[in-house]
This record gives sequence, C-alpha cells and structure tokens, in this order.
Amino acid sequence: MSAHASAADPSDSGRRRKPLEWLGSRFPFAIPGILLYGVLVLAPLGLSFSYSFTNRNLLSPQAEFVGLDNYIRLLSDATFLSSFGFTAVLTLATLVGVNAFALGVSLLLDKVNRAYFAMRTAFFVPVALSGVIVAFIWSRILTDNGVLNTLLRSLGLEQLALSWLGTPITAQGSVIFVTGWQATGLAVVIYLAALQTVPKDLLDAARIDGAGWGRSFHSVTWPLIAPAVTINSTLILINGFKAFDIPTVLTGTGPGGATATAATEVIRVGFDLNRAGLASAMAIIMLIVVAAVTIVVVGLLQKREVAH
Amino acid sequence: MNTEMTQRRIMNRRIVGGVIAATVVTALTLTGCTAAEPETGGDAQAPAKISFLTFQSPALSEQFWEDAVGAVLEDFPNLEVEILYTPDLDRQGYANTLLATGTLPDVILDAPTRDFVQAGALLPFDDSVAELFETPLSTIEGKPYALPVGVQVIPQIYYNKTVFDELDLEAPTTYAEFEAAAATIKAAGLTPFLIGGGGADSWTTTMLLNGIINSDVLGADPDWVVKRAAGEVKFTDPEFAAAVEKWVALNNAGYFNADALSTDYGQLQAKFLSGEGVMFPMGTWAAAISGDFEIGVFALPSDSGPTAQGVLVPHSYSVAATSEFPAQAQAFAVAMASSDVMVTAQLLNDALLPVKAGYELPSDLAPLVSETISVWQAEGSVSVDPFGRFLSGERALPSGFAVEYEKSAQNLLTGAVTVEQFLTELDALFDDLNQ
Repeated sequence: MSAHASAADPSDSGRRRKPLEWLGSRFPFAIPGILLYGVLVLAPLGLSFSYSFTNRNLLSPQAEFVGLDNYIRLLSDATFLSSFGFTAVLTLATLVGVNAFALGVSLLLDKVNRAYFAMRTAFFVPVALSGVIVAFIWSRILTDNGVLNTLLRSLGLEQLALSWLGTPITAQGSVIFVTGWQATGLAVVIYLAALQTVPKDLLDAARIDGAGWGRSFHSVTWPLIAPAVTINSTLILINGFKAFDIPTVLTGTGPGGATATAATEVIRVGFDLNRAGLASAMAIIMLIVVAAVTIVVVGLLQKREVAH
Repeated sequence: MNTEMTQRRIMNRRIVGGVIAATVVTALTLTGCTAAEPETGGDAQAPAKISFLTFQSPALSEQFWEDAVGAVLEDFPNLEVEILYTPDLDRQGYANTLLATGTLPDVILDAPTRDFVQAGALLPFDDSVAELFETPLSTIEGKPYALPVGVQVIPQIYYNKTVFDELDLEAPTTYAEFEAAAATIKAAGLTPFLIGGGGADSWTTTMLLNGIINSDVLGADPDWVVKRAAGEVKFTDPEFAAAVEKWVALNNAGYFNADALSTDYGQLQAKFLSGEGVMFPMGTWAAAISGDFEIGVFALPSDSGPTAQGVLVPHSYSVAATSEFPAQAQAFAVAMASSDVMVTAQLLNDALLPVKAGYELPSDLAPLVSETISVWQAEGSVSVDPFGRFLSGERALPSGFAVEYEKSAQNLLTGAVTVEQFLTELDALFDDLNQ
C-alpha cells in the first residue's frame, strides 16, 4: 500500500521523509490566507464564544463571567424560541419548495435555444438583486392596496385579496414565499447545469427500452443530478437559518414579532438591547444548529450520491 | 548602496514605530484604559477638524445640512466639519453601534442620552446654555448633555377639516366628544383613525395609544416612568390599564384602518392625504404636510378636557467625551442648536417647533404650523415627556423596551393577547431590561 502510494504521488513520499522541510517550504505561502481567516473568521468566532459566557453589554467595558446562564435563559425565552421556530419553518419550507419548484422549472428550461436562454436569465435576475431590494419590491406588491390585491380585485377575486403583510400567518407566508422566490434562481441554474451533464445516450437507451418520461426521470435523471440536490439543499439550509434582510425589510419582523428570525433576534438583542453576551449565546446556538443540520442532511444526500 | 541602506533604515524605523504604536493601542485596549477625560475648556476658535453625525430625511436633505453647517461655520473660520449620515432613520441604534466600535463622532445628533451618559460617552454642557432656550433642558444628574433645536409634540391629532365640516363636527375638547366624533365618522362609512405599523414603522401603531398614556397616566404623574423604574408603580396598575383599555375600545369599535399593520409611515401619510381616513394621530412634524383638503389639528383631549401633551426634543446635539477638540465641538453644537438659521430652517422644513429664547416666528409660516404651535401652547395644556420610544433623559424607557412595547401593542390589536397579558408582559419586560 505504501509502495503504491509512493508510486502514485511522489510528493507524498517526500512529505513523509522530510515533513518539516516540506512544511517549511510551503507554509510561508499559506500565511496570508491563514491570517485573513484567523482575523476575519476564527477571532470573531472565538470572541463571540467567550462573550456568550459573560453578561457583556455594548455600553459598558465591564463584563462578568456568568457561566451557562445565557444558554439556560435562552432555553426558556419565548421570544427566542418563537423566532427560532419560525426560522426552522422558513428553512424547511424553502428547502422543500425551492428544490421542487426549481427542479420543475429546470426540466422545462432544459433546452437549447434563445427563448429558453432568455427565460433562464429572467429566473436568475432575483439572485443578482440584494435581499433588501427584493423585499422592498415585494412589500409594494404585497401591501394591502398593492399590486397583488389590486390585480385580484380587478379579476373579481376580492375574497382572495388578503392582508398579506398585516396578520401573523399571512406575513409569515409572505416572508417564506419571498425568501424562496429569491433562492429559486440560483437553484434553477444549478439544476440546469446538472441536467445538461446527463448523457443523452442513457436517456435514449431508456426510451428504446420502453421507459416513459417518468420512468426515465426516476431511473436515469434523478440519480445523476444527486450532487446538484446536495448543493442546493446545503445552500438553502444555510441561507434559511441566517435569513435576515427579507424579514427585516418586508415586515420589520412584524406584525407583533411574528416574522422575527434567529438572525434578526441576534441583532435586536445585541444592538437594541445592548446585550452582547446574550446575543453571542444566540449566535453560538445558531451556529451549532446550522452546522448539525447541514452535516446530517449533506451526509444523507451524499450517501444517496454514492449509492447511485 | 547608501541610498538603499538609508531606505532600509527608514523602513525598519517605520515598522518598529508601527509595532510600538500597535502594542500601545493593544495594551490600552486590553487593560480597558482610555485617553484621559478631555477638558471642556479651551479655545473654541482654535483650528480643528471635527465630525458631526446627523441623518437625512425628505425634509432634511444632504443639501440642507451642508447649507446649515456652512452658515454656522461662518462664525468659526478655523473649524472644519465632516458631516456623517446615519444609514437610516434609526439614529440611536447607529450611534450605539459607533460607540461599541469606538468610532463615535465628535458631535452627535440624537444620541441615546441616558445610555450614553451612563457609559461615560458624553460631555456635559455648561449650565449657562440653559439661558439660550425657553423650555427647561433635559438633564441627567442636573447636567445638560443635549441641546435642542426645537420640539415636537407627540402626538397631536391632524384631521380632515372638510369632512368634519360636512359631518357638522367640531374639534373635540373632551375625550367623550372625541369618541362621539369617531362614532359619527364611522357611521358615515369613513375610517375615523389612521394608524400604521408595517415594515420597520411599528412606532406608528402606538401613536394614539401613546397620546392616551401621555394624557391619562403621565399627565397625572409626570414621573410615572421613574417610579416604574423604582418599582413603585406597575403597568398592571388601574391607571395604566384604563388608558390601554381606551385604545382597545377604539380598536374594537372598528375605528382604525383594517390595513394598519401592513401600512408603513410613508403609506400612512399618503392614505391621510388621499382622504382614506379622517383623523391622523401623528407627531407635529406632520404640520409640514398639505393635501387637497383643509387640514386642522387638535390636542388629544382628556376626560376633563385640558390635556397633557407629550413634548419631545427630537433633534438634540451632544458632544462625545472622546472628542479631541471638546471646546470646538461644544461651541459648534451650541451654535447649531441656537442658530436662527438652523431654527428657522428646521421650523420651515420639518415643522420643528422653536424653543430658542427670544426667537420670533417668521411671518410667512404655514397656517397648519401656526395652528400646531397654538394647540401646543394652549391655555390649560401641560407638557410631559412623551411615552414610547420618544422618552429621553432620566425618564427614558430602558433600551429596547419601546420597540417590544410596540410589537406587543400590535399583538393586542390583532387580538393575539388580552389587555391583561399585554400589561403583564410589559412589566416583565421592563423589569428584565431595567436591570
């Protein structure tokens, strides 16, 4: 095995023979990257972790160690739990909804001509816009006398003209919809790229064997685009858990805090209430949950990729 | 060769100097040391460059601030002022962020005074500045930390005079007349009150509720919030509960616009100007608006008639304790707050009611602004610090409380909580945030 490895990769054998020399010759090139990562990611993460065990207040230089008090408090904090619950619902809904819709759209757009190219571009436009702009545009569409309700009334569908941003349930639905709407563009592009790697001869062979569209999709296409499902799911999970700009601008996290997410709560507690210690504990909990869910989901999806 | 060596030496010195500077800064940061507290004395006319944090709004544009600062700087030829703007209207939130990051500008408009004084972030002004103003300055431990340009009354009730005339209504002078007017308007198929709450504008939800609390709770006891902080009174007490019940009764009677919680401030004002509602409880900055109909204004009346009006110093100038040029910064702040040019500009542009001693109102003042001032200064009316996010100084609510109060009020409006739950939540929240 060792001989095989040496034969396959001479640099590996060099590394084993003189590890310090190998490290010394390469490490200087990694220093800028390590420094940047350390200063911009690891140091803030470490600080946030240490703050989470204190009662640090942004207006006061003094902070006392409070152990696990912040974490214990959050476990029974109705506002935090409610925001976390909505974040989980938002993430799950966009995970399922965006994957399903984007895949459907991708299958329709999986053609090569100018009209389809234009439609692909149209689907990608929301991705290029910031969440703030997307939320602002949709706030004008969804407000009570906005574009949507005006359209519904003009079609005689008065009973469907709801207060989309004015009640807790409809506002939560609106935030989920707009978040999903913006995420769909990128998911479509990723699925389209994956669909175009599916060998045509496999699909032709399936058709010759008598497989219909559904059978071909289930047995040929779906297994081969498994990596795209993994990528999209991972991105949607991460973006869902850190949703901030759309609920902030679209509903102001209202009405009555119904559309507050874990991320908006971190900012509110940290900067409105000045409780940096408590906000840091929230952020650490978010990090742990996002990491755990992502690892589990990606693990499951990658198993599916390997199985196929 | 010599040149190369000299350059190397210079480079080495720079590196060593940089390291020493970084070490000193790091050491000071780690040990919690800051520069010695600056003296407030000094030559206000000495050369200096200071920064000034303000904000932009439709009425207070970048051009407005440049002109206003330019006019004041004519008296300070050696002073250079860099104008900075908050990214949105949340001046206090942005100031908090700047304080936390150690980048507080020299002069700040609308700093959260109570928090900043507790954090040692502001310099007090000399007591003599009080002579420049007709109203008493808000103080903390007897010292003024913020200078007003003018005041706003929050709220007054702006109303559609044309509709009032058509329905044969007069501006109400008691709360019973106020309710009766709303009932008449509702019976005519119109929306009596416009309130908002959409997007980030949750403050518009509680505008009328705040007015009732000002009138019924703070009017009876202007120190109610101080007493609440001391635990001597509670939100669940009958006086406060009765004020909230009044507001809930108006909601239950269907007097508010149904789309309140999806209507932001801009849309709310547009609705009033398009005639979609008859009464518009709003701060006196609304005196600057005009529509296709005649607009009138009255003070929200109490049960007995004369009311307590919430009077806010909205735009106050404070000076950071970290300013390198405290004398120049304070002189600039005093000049901005007391300049006739600034007072007139803010009166005309933003309907900011003047409080400068000896100031004479311009002759070409808009009728609605004149009427607003008359209502504010009406005989029998008293001034209190306005409830909600507008309280300042020693009577300010704990940081973050007002926004939570507004959110809870939205839940009250939708029926998600009862009055009792609302008040109990407020007590728990206040106690938590007041620690």
